[in-house]
Amino acid sequence: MKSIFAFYRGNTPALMGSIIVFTFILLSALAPWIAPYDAEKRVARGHQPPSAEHILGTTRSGKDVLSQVLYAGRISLTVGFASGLIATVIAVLLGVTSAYVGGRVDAFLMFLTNVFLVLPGLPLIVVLAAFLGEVGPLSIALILGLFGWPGGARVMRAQALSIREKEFVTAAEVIGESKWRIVVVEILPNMVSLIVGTFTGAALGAVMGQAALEFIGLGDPNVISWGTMLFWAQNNSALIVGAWWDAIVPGVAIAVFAMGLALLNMGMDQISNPQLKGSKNLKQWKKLNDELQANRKKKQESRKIAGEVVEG
Amino acid sequence: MSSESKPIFSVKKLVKDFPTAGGPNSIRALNDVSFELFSGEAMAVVGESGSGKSTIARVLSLLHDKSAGDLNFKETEISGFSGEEIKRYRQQVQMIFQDPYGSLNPVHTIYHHLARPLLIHKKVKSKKELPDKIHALLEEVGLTPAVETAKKFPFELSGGQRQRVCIAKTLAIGADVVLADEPTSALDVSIRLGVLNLMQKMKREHNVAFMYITHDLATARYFAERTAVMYVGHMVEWGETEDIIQDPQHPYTQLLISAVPSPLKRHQKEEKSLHVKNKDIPTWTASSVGCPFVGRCIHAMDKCSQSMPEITKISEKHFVRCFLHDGSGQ
Repeated sequence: MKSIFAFYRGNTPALMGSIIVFTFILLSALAPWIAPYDAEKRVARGHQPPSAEHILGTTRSGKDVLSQVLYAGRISLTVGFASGLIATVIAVLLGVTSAYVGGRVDAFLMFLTNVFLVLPGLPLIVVLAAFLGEVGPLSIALILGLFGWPGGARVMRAQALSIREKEFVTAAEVIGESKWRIVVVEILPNMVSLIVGTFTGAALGAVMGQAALEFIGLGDPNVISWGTMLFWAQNNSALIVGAWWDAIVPGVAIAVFAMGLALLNMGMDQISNPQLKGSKNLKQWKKLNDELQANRKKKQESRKIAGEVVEG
Repeated sequence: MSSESKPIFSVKKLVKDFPTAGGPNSIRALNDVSFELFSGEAMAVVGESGSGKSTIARVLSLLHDKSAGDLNFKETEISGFSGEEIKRYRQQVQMIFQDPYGSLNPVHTIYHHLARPLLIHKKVKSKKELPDKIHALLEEVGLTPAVETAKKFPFELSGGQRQRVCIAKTLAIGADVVLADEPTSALDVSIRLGVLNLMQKMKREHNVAFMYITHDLATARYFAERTAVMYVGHMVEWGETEDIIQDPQHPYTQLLISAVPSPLKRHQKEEKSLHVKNKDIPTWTASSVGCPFVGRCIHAMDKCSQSMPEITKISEKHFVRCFLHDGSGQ
């Protein structure tokens, strides 16, 4: 409890990010109870502007946008977190194994990581998705997860390499701990902040990736997600006919949720690099600098006066 | 004396080479090192940084493989050990590290650090016995109140307290041999004595054999019955600690002892009694020959740079490797 408080103290990005992300999770989870209408049914005339009855207006096919955006959150968030989880698990497994075992295993795993790292991400995913036909949320989560790990794996390896050299790892070896226990119990807990950071980063990428795939029409158009909402809005020329709410609402949802994850990620960086947290010290430094400047000015002035006196 | 009994650990002609990146010559960290450890007795290994002191401990605790030589623990060669044998060996030979801030995992409690060795080596019959056993261990090393200390994390303890936890770990395992790699170097002078006394107690009450690696001659004299002086991977002089300190024979040992600040010789000049020729420490490789000290030694002769002198017996338990003493010199 104390440590949670300490984590958020002076860490505004983490606090704001957490609030945004948890609000989205809560709203999506409660969608069946708080959504005013059935998201899949026609409940009004098409393209009704926002009103008291339909707070965020209706789509061209007469569906309630608010209800849709809440239900869509369930799919988009699930895909984001699921593929973030897949990517993080692979990154941790490969990165830490590579660092701890070393030698040929390390060389091979890093070769594999580098190959995946240079594969152009989105184009490859587009090709894969096109090859598989209209892909459902599950396939999208798998594709994004299986291609989203290489950057994380490299960071994990670097961190694990530095922890591996610590004496407590040697001490664990000397008392006879097994290798997997050293990795899981001694090394991994020291990497928690990095793992959480990698997870938020991967989930962020997945949410954006899913929206991109669905927007260009590679997803299953019958599933309600933020991406397909954008897809239908584009298909029905929502902006051209002046139904801005149809396109803007899912767009803002994606942007705000992505910002929440990015802020959370920034907050995690502050833990592993406390230098980023230096706002308070920075103020002190500025104050000190101002004093120094003022002193210097005073000295110059007095010297000037002294010079005038001498000349005079 | 225990020296008449059989040694618990016997090292003969140990050599350890580290390969260098790109170079044909590997670095020879240990060359022709031989010594014996006895139960209930401490041997100090002294020498400056880079003299191979820690490498000995790491080879003996199977963290590095030896390059050549014999390592006999209870009359069994240890380098061929595998699996279950290694586990049984670890139960008997333990290590204490120099940096108490790095040798305890910051994310685990003291309880965890002591529970693991007890569980790995099955020193408790069931998990129910763990708390009592751990509290008893903490009390034995003077970390009271034990119940509170067990709940703490390493960052809540001072350096000396952490080192006591490390000692409690070796006690938990019930090791016969403890390789202490500069256990007091990172500690405040004021708490060194407490840790040394604790190890002294282990030595006497639990009949543990210690290898005490240090660069502090004063603590070596306090704690260790015997001392070996290392220089660039070579043992240049060894014997009873009192003999080494009162009557140093090798020029390097004399230099080392003259560097100890003495309250009787105030304002002493550095290395006043021995004019050292130069202060560079050579890098020893597999193909280097001669005495490693030749570049700094004021008594250096031609043959010193051609071959390493053989072992000369000064007295019953005092040996040196130097041409000045083998009868052929002068």
